[in-house]
Amino acid sequence: MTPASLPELLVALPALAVVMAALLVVLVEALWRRTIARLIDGIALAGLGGAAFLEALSLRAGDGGPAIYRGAAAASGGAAAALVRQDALAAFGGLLILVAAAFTVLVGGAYVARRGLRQAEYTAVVLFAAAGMLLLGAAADLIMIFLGVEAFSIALYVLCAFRSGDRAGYEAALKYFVLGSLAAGFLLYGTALVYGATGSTELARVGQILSGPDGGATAGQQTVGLAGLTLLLVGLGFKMALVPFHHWAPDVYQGAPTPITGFMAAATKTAATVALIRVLWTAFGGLSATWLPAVAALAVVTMVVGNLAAIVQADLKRMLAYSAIAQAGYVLVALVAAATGGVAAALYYLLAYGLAKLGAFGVLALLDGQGGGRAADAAANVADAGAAGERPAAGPRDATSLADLAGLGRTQPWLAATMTICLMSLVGLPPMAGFLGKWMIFQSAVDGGWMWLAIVLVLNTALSAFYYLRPIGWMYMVEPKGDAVPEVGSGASFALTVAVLGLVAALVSGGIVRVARAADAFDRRPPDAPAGLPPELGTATPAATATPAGTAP
Amino acid sequence: MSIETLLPWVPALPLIGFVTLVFFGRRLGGRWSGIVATVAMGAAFAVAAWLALGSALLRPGWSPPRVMGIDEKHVVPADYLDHPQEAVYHSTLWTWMTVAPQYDLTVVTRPVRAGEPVPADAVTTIRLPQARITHDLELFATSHRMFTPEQAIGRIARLDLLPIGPDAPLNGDRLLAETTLLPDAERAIPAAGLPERPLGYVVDVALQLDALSLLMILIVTGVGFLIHLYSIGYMAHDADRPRYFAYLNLFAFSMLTLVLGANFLVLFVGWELVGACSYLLIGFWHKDPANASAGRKAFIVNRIGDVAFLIAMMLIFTTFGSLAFADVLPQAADPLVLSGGVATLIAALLLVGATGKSAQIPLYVWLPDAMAGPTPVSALIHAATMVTAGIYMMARAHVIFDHAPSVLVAVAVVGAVTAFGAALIALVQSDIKRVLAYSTVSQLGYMFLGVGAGAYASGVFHLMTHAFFKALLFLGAGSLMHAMEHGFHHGKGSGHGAASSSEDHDDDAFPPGPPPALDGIPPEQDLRHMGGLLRKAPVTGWTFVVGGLALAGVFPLAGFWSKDEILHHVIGRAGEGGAIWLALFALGLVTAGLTAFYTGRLLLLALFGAPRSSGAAHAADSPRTMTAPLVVLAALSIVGGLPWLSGPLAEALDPVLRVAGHVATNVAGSAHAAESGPSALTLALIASAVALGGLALAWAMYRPGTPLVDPARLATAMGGAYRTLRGKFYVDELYAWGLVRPFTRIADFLWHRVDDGVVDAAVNAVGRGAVALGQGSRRWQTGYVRTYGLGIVIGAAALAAWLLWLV
Repeated sequence: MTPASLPELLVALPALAVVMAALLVVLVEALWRRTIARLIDGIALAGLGGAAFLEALSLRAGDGGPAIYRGAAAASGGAAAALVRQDALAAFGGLLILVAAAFTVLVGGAYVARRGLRQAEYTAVVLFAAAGMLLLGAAADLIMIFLGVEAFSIALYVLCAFRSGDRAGYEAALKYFVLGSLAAGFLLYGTALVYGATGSTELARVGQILSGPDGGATAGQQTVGLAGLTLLLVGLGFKMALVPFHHWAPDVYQGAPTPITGFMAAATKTAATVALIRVLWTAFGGLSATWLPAVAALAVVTMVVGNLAAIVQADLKRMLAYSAIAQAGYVLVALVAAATGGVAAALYYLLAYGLAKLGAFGVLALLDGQGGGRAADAAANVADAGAAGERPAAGPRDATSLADLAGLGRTQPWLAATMTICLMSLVGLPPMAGFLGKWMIFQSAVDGGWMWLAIVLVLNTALSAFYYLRPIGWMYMVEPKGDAVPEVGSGASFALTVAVLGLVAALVSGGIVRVARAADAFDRRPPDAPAGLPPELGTATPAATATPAGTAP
Repeated sequence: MSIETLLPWVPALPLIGFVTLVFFGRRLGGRWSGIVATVAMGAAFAVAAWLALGSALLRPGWSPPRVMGIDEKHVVPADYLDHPQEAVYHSTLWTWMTVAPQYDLTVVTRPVRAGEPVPADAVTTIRLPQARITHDLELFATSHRMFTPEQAIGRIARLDLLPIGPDAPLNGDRLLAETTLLPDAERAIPAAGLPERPLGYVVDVALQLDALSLLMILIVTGVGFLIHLYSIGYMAHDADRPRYFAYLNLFAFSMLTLVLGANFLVLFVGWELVGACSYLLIGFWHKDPANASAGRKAFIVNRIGDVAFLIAMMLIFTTFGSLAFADVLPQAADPLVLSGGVATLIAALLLVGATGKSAQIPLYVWLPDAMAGPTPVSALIHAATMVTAGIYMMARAHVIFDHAPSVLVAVAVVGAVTAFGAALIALVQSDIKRVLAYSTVSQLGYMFLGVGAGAYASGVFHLMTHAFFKALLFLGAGSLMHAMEHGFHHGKGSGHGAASSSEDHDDDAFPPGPPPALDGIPPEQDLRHMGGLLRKAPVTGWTFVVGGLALAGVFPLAGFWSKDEILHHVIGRAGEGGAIWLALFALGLVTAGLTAFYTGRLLLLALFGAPRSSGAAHAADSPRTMTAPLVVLAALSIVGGLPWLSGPLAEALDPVLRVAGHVATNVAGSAHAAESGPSALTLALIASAVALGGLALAWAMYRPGTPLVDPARLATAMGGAYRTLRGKFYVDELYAWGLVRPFTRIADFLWHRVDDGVVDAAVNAVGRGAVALGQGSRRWQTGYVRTYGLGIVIGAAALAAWLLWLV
């Protein structure tokens, strides 16, 4: 890589800002030798806020945002190969990730402090993970996708095992690590196959060769490319927790510290989804007729298995894990219908989903330790088949069973209301944002001719109401058992308030929908720029190449 | 302040009162709650009065400076324009939903067949609103899908267009056009005289002030203020006053919303809200299950009418593409838009809605039971204001009714029969409030009769006078009850009887304390326990007499003029031929006689003769806050109908309520038709004779001392007829037997068999199945990494197989 010019660096600035904040946090603790919670939170929020500001600036970039190019542009046949492209899609995903990270820092701070863990380390690692996710969201090249996945995955492995002496956390981290490595292998082999088929790892270039006007790929190239796509799907599907690559999710979600579970559910899914959007539609959009049925089938299996399994969970974190799997299925439906506004639907849905998940896990994180001696209740649920079922007794126990919610409406009305709103949004009940998101997905599927898929989605939504509404019943219709009332820190309650307000405001304001629609105009097919001319920085490629949102076919 | 900015304050003030009482009522306490509510109402009345003076809407022959005229918005038949323009003030609080700003439409001016190329000469540009979009199918869908205007540009829309304007063909052909929406390039130069109208539809939360709504808000705020004032005294001993006054203010807000709404939707919101308030106030003393049940009955019966109203609104929307009066009513005058069949359907549904709210056959049964609420509530809601909403609504939508002559006849028949039947029932009731309740039903029937005759202004005029004297009568009845209760308590504590004045020497004739209730009627409101109250409570008594005579239609009190005008119009219609109008006139006249009779009976039994209980014997007049409103209302009942008031009123209402010229030939405009009947003087003489005859008969039967005709003997002689009347024609029993019981059985069947047996069972089965499947899925969740890895590999293999071989 040749020395990057300043505009090119601007592209990486959001991620850089987050990394700088992380380093600063570590430094601060090293220098002061004691934890100053407010300072750490402040630095982290400043970094995240700065990054969010930069992301918001590029929201308007459409599909022609600035990009970092591989240095040897002229050598590789003239066309500059973009590694990272800061377009509106990346910006929208990035904003979601940053919000999730800020939330995790705020809620997790209280959680970590209560357990006597190092808050600075926790915050720094969360920020590192967020930086990796930002890179994944903006990746315009398969190599970058791999790097992004690895960057945040390693940070997450650490976070899963963050509670020292907690066997459940260690187990979760190890499982995640082993299976994540397997998935990384799939991702890398997929990249290799794609490179073999097309001679490029840049998504736009791959798309150009496989389907573009001057591509003219042979049948052989296409077959090898599809094989590559299969492996890429496995790799990214693992991160998104699609069935049948989902098995890690319930165990890891349950074992990991609760704030981290929320972070994984919201941010990882967003980053992986954005990457999958690019892989499917930028690189393989031309072959969509071939892979669409398979991806649709994947969506169906994911929705059905996720929801059915969620119904039988008695442990809330496991229930929410399976619910996250089912929700990934909904998002996949939107990706299938990307030609008819599905991407905007997916982005909006990720927003609604992410806020709701953060809120729900946030409430659980604040409730920890309330349950005291009821570890035995939850022990039976550590793994569904009960193979790895010992619970640690060290430190406050995470609140995870339905019984922990009993009477919350009485003892903690504000937390209960937050939880209720989040769960209702996850079901997709009006007037929550989840309703609008689900409805946008439904509409894009119907518009795209995927009526049967839309029907499956609706049936699954009905199915999901069962397990989402049950905790609400526990909160409001069951007498409280314990009398220990958790104290809620100002930062955490602020974060929860933001989540709830976001859920409501997202529905009220048409602005977010508009922004999501604008982000839909990402680079779907190879740019029309003639080969040999490096695209000018900051100039928009003609919007004509992208299909306008919602245009009837 | 301009009228438009002042207007929203009329409903807002009671709303502020309501909100204040909801949040601070308990802290304020009962007394201050009443004062806050009353002040809010008084302020609302002041604003309304200011509007009346400032807008000069009620001044005849006055041409408004700023006209939202009909012709500015739509081209309408020429004869409609010959008349002075309707004066309307609009105050749009906010636009709830707008689909898109104005667009030029590039229209393919011919039916488009799928796949056929469109020739260039068939393309023309139409600027909205020169074409009225009757069905914007695609755009309607667009609006629901939340496309922004920018995104709507360039989209193909399929529109059903009705060309209007000077060059348009007048045969009413519609164009099925396929259009491309283009941004309006020339927005700076609006088409001459055409206000910008959004494409698609808007839902405005808008208020509209014209002569009709101005009159209504004057009645609602004026009478409402008096009744609030009265309530301070009447409810003085009720612990729940904050709640009472909060409801009362909420009701005022709702009613004002109803009459001020500039479209059917806002009207409907008010319509539903007044129903809810009525329910809350009827069941105000909800600890007695009978009261709660009366509230429920009112609510449910009203629902039936509301559903019909709702369906009518849907029809209006599909027919006119709008719910705003300013859009709908001028269009409704155009026979090209509103065909007879649709008009009949809409009008019939509106009629059903009106019968619910205005307590007409067959939905009148809730109103007599509504007297379970506090008496001021009966006066305000169930006599003066809410129950007139049906008449107001029909007057407002009269253009539609004009197109449906058969429905108008139905309105008149319903009104006349209700008036007659309810008057019959009122003849024999012993409960003072029930007499007044049935009298209200009967008088509302009169208003229906007037509306049905096409004399909307007369109906509204009677609405106004009735509001005065019926509010007076109800408040007077409440005051009498108050006096009676005082008497009972006095009788109870008879230890100081020796110290009381000599005129109480006959109180030993009655046992102390209230006598046992007869037929379930509380003793203080039972006419059989009253008597001689005029002497004990003179202010209440004399104002009550004034109200009664106004109700009876005695010259020159208010009731005489308005009732006479209605009858005048009905006989006018009869003059054109049509035996039915003659029959309706006869019914109306007989009802006038019955009204006079039961009023006379009411006055004689309650006020004259000797006291018939300790309550009546020791009654005392009510406090000043209660009697002052009575005096004001009595004054209004005297002068409220005088021709120098009614003439200008009709003239002011004329632009709002005028029957469009071309329709008048069908419906017979009331004004000139009336001239063909007997002269006004003759009619007035006949009506007066009938009223005096009724009063005389009542005197003969119920005068103090020995009656000329013994009512008891007459009742025995009449036998079955008497019992039928006494049992209110057994309509409640009939409904219970014929409607409620079968309904309950069907509901029972649906519950136990269909719901429990089929629906719930199916849901439970699905649930069990889902749980079983979920349990099955757990088998794979072993907790071992090796199983999970295997899952990934199998999944990858399956995916590869699908993508590489199967496809």
